[in-house]
Order: sequence, then C-alpha cells, then structure tokens
Amino acid sequence: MSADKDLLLAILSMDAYNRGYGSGVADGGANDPDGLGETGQIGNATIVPRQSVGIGPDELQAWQNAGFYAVAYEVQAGAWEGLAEDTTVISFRGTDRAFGWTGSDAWNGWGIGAGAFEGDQARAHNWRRRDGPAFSKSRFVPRQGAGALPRTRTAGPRREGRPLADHRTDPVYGEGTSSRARHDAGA
Amino acid sequence: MLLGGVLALAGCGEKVAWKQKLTVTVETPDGPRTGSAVQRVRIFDQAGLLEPITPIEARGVANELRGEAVAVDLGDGRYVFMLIGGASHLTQRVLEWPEPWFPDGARAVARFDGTADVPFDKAPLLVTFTDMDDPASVKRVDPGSLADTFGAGYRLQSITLGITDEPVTEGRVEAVLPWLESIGRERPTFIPNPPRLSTQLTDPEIQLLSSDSFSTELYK
Repeated sequence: MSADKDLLLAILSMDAYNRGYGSGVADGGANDPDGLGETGQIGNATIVPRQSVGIGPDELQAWQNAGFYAVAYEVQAGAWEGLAEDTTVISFRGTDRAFGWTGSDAWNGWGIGAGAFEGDQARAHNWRRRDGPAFSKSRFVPRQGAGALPRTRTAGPRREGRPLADHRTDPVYGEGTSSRARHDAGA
Repeated sequence: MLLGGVLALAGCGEKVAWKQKLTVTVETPDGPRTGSAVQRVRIFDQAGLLEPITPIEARGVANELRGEAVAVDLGDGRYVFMLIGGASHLTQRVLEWPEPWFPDGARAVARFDGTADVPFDKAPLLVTFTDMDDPASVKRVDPGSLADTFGAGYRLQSITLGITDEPVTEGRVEAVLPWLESIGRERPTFIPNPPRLSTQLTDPEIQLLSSDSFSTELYK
C-alpha cells in the first residue's frame, strides 16, 4: 500500500531542521554536531550525502555563513503515491537561528521573501554538482522559514554554477512557496 | 536601525563558552608521544530575549566549536589524529554536570577545574594516513588496538580533557597536512567518489571524511 506523497514531503521538509549544522536536535552520539547526522533513512527515503553530489567543506561553510542548509533524499519507487520512480527530494531551510549578526535568517534570508534576491541565502541555495552523479529527478521541498527563492543563482565565487531547470509554484503548498525540479544532467 | 536593535536584543540571550584542551598520549617503542589542541566551545540560546517572536524552529540551544584536531607525531613520519567531530559535546559525555544542561550544566562545565580522562569509546574518531601526502590513504584507527595499524609497541595510553585559559590552537594540523585546505576545495571527500546513497556506505565516517573534520578555520 502506498501513502500520499504530501505526507512524506511534509516530514522531509521538517527533517532538514534536524540535520546538519545548527540542527534543532542532538542524538547524544557522534553525530551531535550534525543533529541526527547526514546519513541514514527516514522511512524509505534514503539520504543522499551532500558529498556524493559534490558539496564539499568549503561550500558547506558558505552555506553556514549564509544561514542555509539542504539535504537530499532518494525515495523508493512506488512507495508514495504521486512520486515518480527514483525521485530525489531536496529539503532546504534557513538556519535554525533567526537572529544574530552572522548566519541568521533575519540578516540573510528574510529580505529574500521581500524580493531581495541577492541575499546570501538565495545565493547559497544553488545546489551544484562537481564530480558526483546527477540527480535523475528532483524536487525541492519548500522550507518553513524564509520566503521563496529566486529562479537561478550562481553561488560562491570559485566554481561554475549550474542553474536549475525549472521553477514553479507548488500546488501543494500554495502560492508564494517555492518548488524546484531539476532533471538529469542535460537540464 | 530597527533591525540592528532586534539583532542586538537577540544577542542578549544566555551564552556559555569555554576552552577545552584535549591531550592524546600514545605509547610507542621510542617512548610516549603526546599531542594536544585547545578548542573553543560556545553554547548559546539562539533566540535570546526575542524568543516570544521567534519561530519555533529557530529557538533552542545551539553549540559551536572552533579549533582543530589533535595531531600526535608517532615518529618515522607517522601521525594519528583525533578529529573535531563530536568534540563540542565531549564535556557532556565525560564530566558530571547538574540538570538542566543549559545553562546550569554548561556553566558548571565552564567552571571545571582539573583534568578528566576521556573513555576511548567516547572519544572523537581517530584516523591516520598510510601516505601523508595522499588524502585518500586515510584509515580509521582503533583506539583499543593501535598495534593493528602501527605495529607492535604502539598503544593509546590516555585521552584527557581539561578546561583551560590557553589560546585556541591553530595551524598545527595544517603544518602536518599542508594540502588540507586545497583538497577540500578540490573534492568533497578525501576518498573520491563516495557512493550516491548513504545506505551504500560501508564506513560513512571514513568515506565521507573531509578537511572540515580537521579544522573549523580552513574556509572562514
């Protein structure tokens, strides 16, 4: 029996807050700095390590400076009604820190919701590949914090950015939220 | 000006910081070898005085660590490193502190005067490189059996933690691994091309290891 995709997407959209730097929970183990860690599964959604898609430590630091974080999951085919085979879900958030001088949503993200698309969180969102395998099909889950992100950005000064292929309003989450789909390497 | 005031208010929340000195001592056939590093840990209330208007997901207590791994020179060009992953929570695993953890427990940790032994099973990951010039040669080191990696006569003698006023150490690990910063810009992991899915990883801590496990200061 398959469940509706909306439930999974809702769970994964919140799961990003529990992983990576500044996570909202700690597991008491070696993964503490990363919350629940950046490996493993949520149900049948398997985490795609950011390293395997080319996100290295320097870029992670850039994310942190901007108060941005993202995590990807690959969902088993047929398990969730409405999700195509081999769908990759990317859940992203601002930081868990609303205020502060560095890395905070107030400083780096909230202006984006007001249309300032050059904000650091907007620039950091560009999930780029270097030597990692391509996403076959992917979908960004809207974050719960700051507003919608812009269509394309190149993030960081050092590497070539790859623009996202598609940007559309998500009918599930309504007007004003952001959903992105990036298709295979040819996108 | 309004935003500046809001940010200033947020900064007025509880915060506790300390510097911790981690010392690793290894018995070798040529006598004991010791390495140490001083790291800064900061525990803070993210919302501060603005908690009533802060989104739930942005509230809570966060921790930050600044510093580098411990490098122990074993001689003959061989080193063992104790990484920084998990170091920010090491005091919670090793010291006794009153409930709740924040701020009372954290304050007690900051006032700790002395040195505590770190049980090997609670210590951060130990690694070495079979070729110090090749990041991909990184290998896990079993704290209970250094002889498996380095040969007879090598044994982890102790890992200790103390709260200190000494300055945060910088550059010791980079002096030993001069490629540390550049390799992190070149590729996301020391061992290239990790599996795509985390369930395909056989040793995630090693396969996903990169420069940020050795220093927090490389890409600031």
